Amino acid sequence: MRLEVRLYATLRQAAPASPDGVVPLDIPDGATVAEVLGLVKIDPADVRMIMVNGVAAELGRTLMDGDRLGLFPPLGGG
Amino acid sequence: MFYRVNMATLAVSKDDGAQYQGLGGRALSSRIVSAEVDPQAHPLGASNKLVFVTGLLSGTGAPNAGRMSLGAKSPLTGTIKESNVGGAMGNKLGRLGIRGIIVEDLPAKDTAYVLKVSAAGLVVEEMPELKGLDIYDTVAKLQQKYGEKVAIGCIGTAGENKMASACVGFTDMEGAPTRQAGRGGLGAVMGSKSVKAIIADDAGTQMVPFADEAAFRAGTKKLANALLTHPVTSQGLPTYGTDVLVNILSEAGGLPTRNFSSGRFEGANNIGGETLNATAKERGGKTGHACSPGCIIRCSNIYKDKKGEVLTGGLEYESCWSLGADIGVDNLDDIAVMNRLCDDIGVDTIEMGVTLGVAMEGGVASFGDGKAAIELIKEVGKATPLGRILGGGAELTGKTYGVRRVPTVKGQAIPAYDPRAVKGVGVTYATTTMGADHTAGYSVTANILSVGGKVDPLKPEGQVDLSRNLQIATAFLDSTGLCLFVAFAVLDIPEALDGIVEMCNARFGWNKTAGDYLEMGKQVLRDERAFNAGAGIGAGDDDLPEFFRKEPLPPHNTVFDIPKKDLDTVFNF
Repeated sequence: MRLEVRLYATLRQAAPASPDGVVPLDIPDGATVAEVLGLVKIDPADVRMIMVNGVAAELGRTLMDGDRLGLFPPLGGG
Repeated sequence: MFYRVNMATLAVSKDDGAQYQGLGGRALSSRIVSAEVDPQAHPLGASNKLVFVTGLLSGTGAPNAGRMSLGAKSPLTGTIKESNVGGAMGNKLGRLGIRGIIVEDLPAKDTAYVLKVSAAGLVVEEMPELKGLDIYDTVAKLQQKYGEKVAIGCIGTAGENKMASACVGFTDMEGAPTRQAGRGGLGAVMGSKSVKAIIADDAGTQMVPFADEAAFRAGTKKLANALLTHPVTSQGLPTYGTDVLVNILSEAGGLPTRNFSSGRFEGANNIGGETLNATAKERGGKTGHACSPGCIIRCSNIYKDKKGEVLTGGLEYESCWSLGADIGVDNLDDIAVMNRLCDDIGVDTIEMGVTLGVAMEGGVASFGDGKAAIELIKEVGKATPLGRILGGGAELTGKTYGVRRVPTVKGQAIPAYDPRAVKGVGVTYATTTMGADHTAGYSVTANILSVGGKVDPLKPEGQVDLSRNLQIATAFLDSTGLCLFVAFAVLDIPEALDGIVEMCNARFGWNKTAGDYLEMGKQVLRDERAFNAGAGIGAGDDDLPEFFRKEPLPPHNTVFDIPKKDLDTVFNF
C-alpha cells in the first residue's frame, strides 16, 4: 500500500533527495509507524511528534493505504 | 528605583516605590496600572499611564533574563495590557537599578520628546526633528546623537498617529530595531504622550547586588543546564527559530489559513522554519541569533534579501503566519518585506496580518496577493483613510467592511493557532485578561508539541485545567524578566524551576517556595481581572467569536465546543 511520509526539520536529513521532506513510500499491508521508521532509517528516539492524517499517533499505530504520516523531532516556538 | 515623568509639566521625580516592593515585570506593571489608572480612563487621555518596568532578574546576567514589560490601559482592547519585549533595554535598565518608569499625563504641545536614562538620572529632551520619522530612521538619528551602545525603544508614525495596533520597537544587541512590544497598541499610548523614544545608557554601572551571590550562581547553573539540555531550547529553536511551527501547525490542521477558513496551508513549507533556515544559509543571513544579552536559546534571526542586503530581523512564526498563511501568501521574501514595513511604521505584525486577512475577506484585495498586501501596509504608513482603518486593527476593519468572520477576542486579533484544532489555546484566547493572546497560557505545548505532557488538541477534555495552570505559571514567569521560552525546559525538567526559584530568592534574600511564586502569578491575574471588571469587561466577554463554534475547520472539521460555563471556571483558584 501507498503512504505519504512527510519529514520535518532535522529528520529531512534522512531523505536528501526530497528537499521538501515529502517521501511517497510503498509499505507492506499492516505496517506500523515503527516499521516505517525502520524503512526510512530514522531512529525512533529522534522522533517527538507523530501525526497520522494530522492527528497525534504512537509508534505502534497501524497505517492504512493513503495515510499521510508526519514526523517531527522535538520542536517548539511561540 | 522608580522614575515618574509628568508630560504636562515635564517634571521628573524619583522614589523607591515602597508600595511596589517584591514585584517585577508583569506583576509590577499590572499592579501599577491597577492602582494608579482609572479603569474608565480613555486609553489616549491624561489619566492613562504608560509604564516601563524590569523583571525580578533583570540586569543580573541570569540566562534569558533580558525581557521587560510595558503596561497601560490598551486602546485596542480597553483592558489592562502588559506587552513583553526582548532586545537590549531590559538588561540595561536592570543594571541601572531601575524597576519602573511611569509616564503620566499629556503634553501641552505637539512635539517629540525623548526620555533618556543613565547613571546620571532621567532627562526629558525635546527633539522635534524626530517627529514624522519611522522607527529605523528614528533609531539611526538617535544612535548618531547618543552612540551605538545605548538601547532604544521608539514609536513610528503609527504610534504618532495613535493607531490602535501601534507597537513600540526596541533595538537588539546589534542596535537594529527588530524587537517589538507588539500587542495591544501601547505605541499609541506612547504617541498620545508625545514620547517618541526612550533611551537607556548603562555606561559606568556595576553588577547588580545579590543577597546571596553563591546561591544565585547555583540557581543560574540549574536553569542554564536545563536550557542547554532540553532539545527544544538547545536544538530546535536555535536552528530553525520559532518559524518551525508553520509546518507543525499546518500538519496538525491548526494553522489558520486565509482568514481562519482552513487549518492547513498548501504553501506552508515555503514559509516555514526549514525554508527560513535554508534561505539564511544561502544568502549569508543568520539563524541562532540572540535578541538580548544572556540569551542562550538564540531563536532569533537576520533575514537578507536576494541581493544579500539585510532586510529584516526577528522574523518570527507569528509574523510569517499572519503575513503569510492567514492572507494566503507563500512567498517568504514578500513576508520579510511586510515584516520590515510593520517594524518600521510601528504596528504589531499579528494584528496587521489578521487585519489584512479580514480586509481580503471584505474584498479589499485577493487572498494570496502579497504585492497588494505590501501596498496596503504602506497605506498604514501614510495614514490615509484606508490606512487608518487597517491600523485600527482587525475588529475595526471587519466592521468597516461588513465581514462576519472576524477572529478577535476583546478587540485583539487571534494569533497563529486555530482554536478549533488547538482547543487548549482557545481557552486561553477566550479567557485571558489581555484579549486574544497565545503567550498568556501557551497550551500548544501539551496540545501539539508533546512538551509538559499530552492533552488531545481536538477534544474539549482537560483544556480548561491546562490553560488555567499555564496562565498562572506564565503570569509569574512574565514577572521575572525571563523569556517565556524557558518554559519549554521548565515543563519537562524540574531543576529548571528550582533554578528560577533559587535565583529570585538569592537576588533579594527571600525564602519563597515555588508555591509562593505561583501565588504571585495568581495575584497578577486577580489584579488584571479587577481592572478589567472596572473597565466594564467581565466574564461575559470571556468567549470566542460565534463562528468558531459554528463553522467546522478543515481538515479535521471540528468546532470549538468547550461550553461557556466551563470557560467561566478558568479563574476558580
